Amino acid sequence: MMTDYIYTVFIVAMDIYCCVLLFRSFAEKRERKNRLVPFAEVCMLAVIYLVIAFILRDYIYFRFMAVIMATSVIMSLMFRIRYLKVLGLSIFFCSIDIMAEYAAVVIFGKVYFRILGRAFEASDIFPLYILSLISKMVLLGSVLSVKKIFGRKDPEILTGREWRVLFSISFITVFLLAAMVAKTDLFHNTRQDSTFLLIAMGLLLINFIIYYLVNEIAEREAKIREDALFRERVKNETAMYHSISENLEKQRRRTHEYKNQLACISALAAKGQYRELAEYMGKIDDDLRHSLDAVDTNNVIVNAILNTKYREAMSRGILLVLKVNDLSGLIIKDEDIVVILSNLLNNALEACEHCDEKVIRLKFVLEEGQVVVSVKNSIGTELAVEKGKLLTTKAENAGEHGMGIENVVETVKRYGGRYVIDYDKRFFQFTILLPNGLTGK
Amino acid sequence: MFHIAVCDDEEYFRLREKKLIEEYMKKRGFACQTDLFPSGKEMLKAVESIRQYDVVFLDISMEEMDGIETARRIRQISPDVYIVFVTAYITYALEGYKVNAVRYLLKEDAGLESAMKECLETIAALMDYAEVECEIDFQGGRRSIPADSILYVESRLHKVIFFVMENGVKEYYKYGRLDEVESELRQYGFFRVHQSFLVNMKHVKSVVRYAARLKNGTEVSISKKYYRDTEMEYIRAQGEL
Repeated sequence: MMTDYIYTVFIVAMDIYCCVLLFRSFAEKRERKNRLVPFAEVCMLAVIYLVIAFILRDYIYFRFMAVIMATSVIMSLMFRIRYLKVLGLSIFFCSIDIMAEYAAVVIFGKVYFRILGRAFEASDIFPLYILSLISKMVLLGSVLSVKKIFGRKDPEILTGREWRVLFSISFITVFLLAAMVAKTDLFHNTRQDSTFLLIAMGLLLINFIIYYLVNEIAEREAKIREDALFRERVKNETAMYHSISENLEKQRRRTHEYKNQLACISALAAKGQYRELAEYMGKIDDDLRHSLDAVDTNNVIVNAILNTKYREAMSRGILLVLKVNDLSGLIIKDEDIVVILSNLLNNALEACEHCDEKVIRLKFVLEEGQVVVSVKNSIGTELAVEKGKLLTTKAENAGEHGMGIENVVETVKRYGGRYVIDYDKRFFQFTILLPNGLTGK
Repeated sequence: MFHIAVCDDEEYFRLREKKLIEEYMKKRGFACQTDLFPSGKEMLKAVESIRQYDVVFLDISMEEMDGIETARRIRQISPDVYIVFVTAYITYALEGYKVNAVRYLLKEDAGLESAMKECLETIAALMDYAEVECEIDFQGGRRSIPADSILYVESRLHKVIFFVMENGVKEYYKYGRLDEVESELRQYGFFRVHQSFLVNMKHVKSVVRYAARLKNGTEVSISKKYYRDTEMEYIRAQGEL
């Protein structure tokens, strides 16, 4: 019958969709110029499944192995993945497929018994079909759970509540399917059976479409967020580099001036014109003394940032207390140093503006293969309850912090580091510990 | 009474620093005596008096005896004195000499006053802290122990055992519950890392899953329940200047 064919294709399609979904959370799709190629691969797999199901109908174990082999081959074509891993995942997928069927049979069997007062029989075709559909739902649920627990770390776009709402759609579907089975007049009207089967498949299809859509939306949101973070970083770095090159330029000019002044001083001294000399000294640009570098950590980038920030702080009447040591051995990449230091110091400088006690304490040391970066600054009482956001290390969603802090946190995590944010009415302290061995990818 | 020494080869800075110190002390109502030295050599002549200094301000660019060398000798004589380096340029090498300087002050005119103030405030707070002594009635009698010397406290059966650093690690015990000890010692930086252990965070060198390694080599177990908070506390402590 027509419906049988539609049904078979449908079941196989659901299987393959779940399989691809599982693989997507553990590997990357290969890039294809032609968008039809992955479609062709999927169709090929579908055909192979059907062929296996037909030819090896009676040989359960061979069928199992053949399915695993076919899945491995096609998936390794579609994804960038190691052979051993693809084999492992294929075996895993087929196992949960079988387990889903078994679970559906067990649950359904009990329900069936309760409703009809007798056990499930092989000749009950219609309920059998519904059973398969239910097992595919269970399969989808399992794959999604595995994805959530073990998959690659994607940022949490859907909250726990939203996931529960999604899953409830599936429960409703299964419930409807079960109700259908319970209420239909079985075995008497095959036409009605076909209709109900089509409805059942339709419901399942709707489920899958919903998941697909939600997934698409979630991924797009994640991408937008990533882009925003990225742009923020670029903005920071660019500002930093501008400020650094400006300072270098100023430095050059000052050195030049300095040389001139020295020449003048030695000339006056040589001629014994001490009175003029004293006058001259009084007139010399005070700026020179304030503009020379304050700190040297033996690391070019850190020096550039710290000296710039130190001068900026001084010009705003803020004291910057420093504890540093030899940072030439830092493995952290320059861009990442900029992200961490700029953001922390900018926030600290901002906060101090609104305080009576304008002090920032910065510690940046490398000791025994461990990097400690900590910024402690006073905060005005307003900031403690700033914008209703409580800045705490325990925040579920890093987006609750400001964008700058989020960048810092993301960078710290990439290096396998730990951090603590601590504050009370008077002080705010952000401490980072990083092992100086891993390279942030 | 604060005993302070200022060592700088330029008179201008010697006098300026003394003035800033005295201004601060007066504002806070502390009595202080500030001695001035034109070189490290001069200062080290009076070894005995060095021991009585609470704080020493050392200029790095001194000629006759390198400021660093002076600092080393002073540290040998007095392990507890607070050393402050006053310099035109904070370089990475300074921290490397391991004399455990508490602050590095930049000599430039504009910032020196506020830097001095912050430095003295920090030292005053540290000194308050360091002087805390605990009076405890041990089984062997009543003892007065500086809170900082207590490495950790363990509870075994009904006893609480204090591991104290006194020319080696000594153990003193008394009957009681760790909870009580915790509520008393927490204000001095002690942290509960395990049902049976209370550790002085100052002596913790590193925190791993699931033990705290102390600076003297001892390892104290951390239970899973207390691990996260202990780790956070450790990280926070690392960030202190």
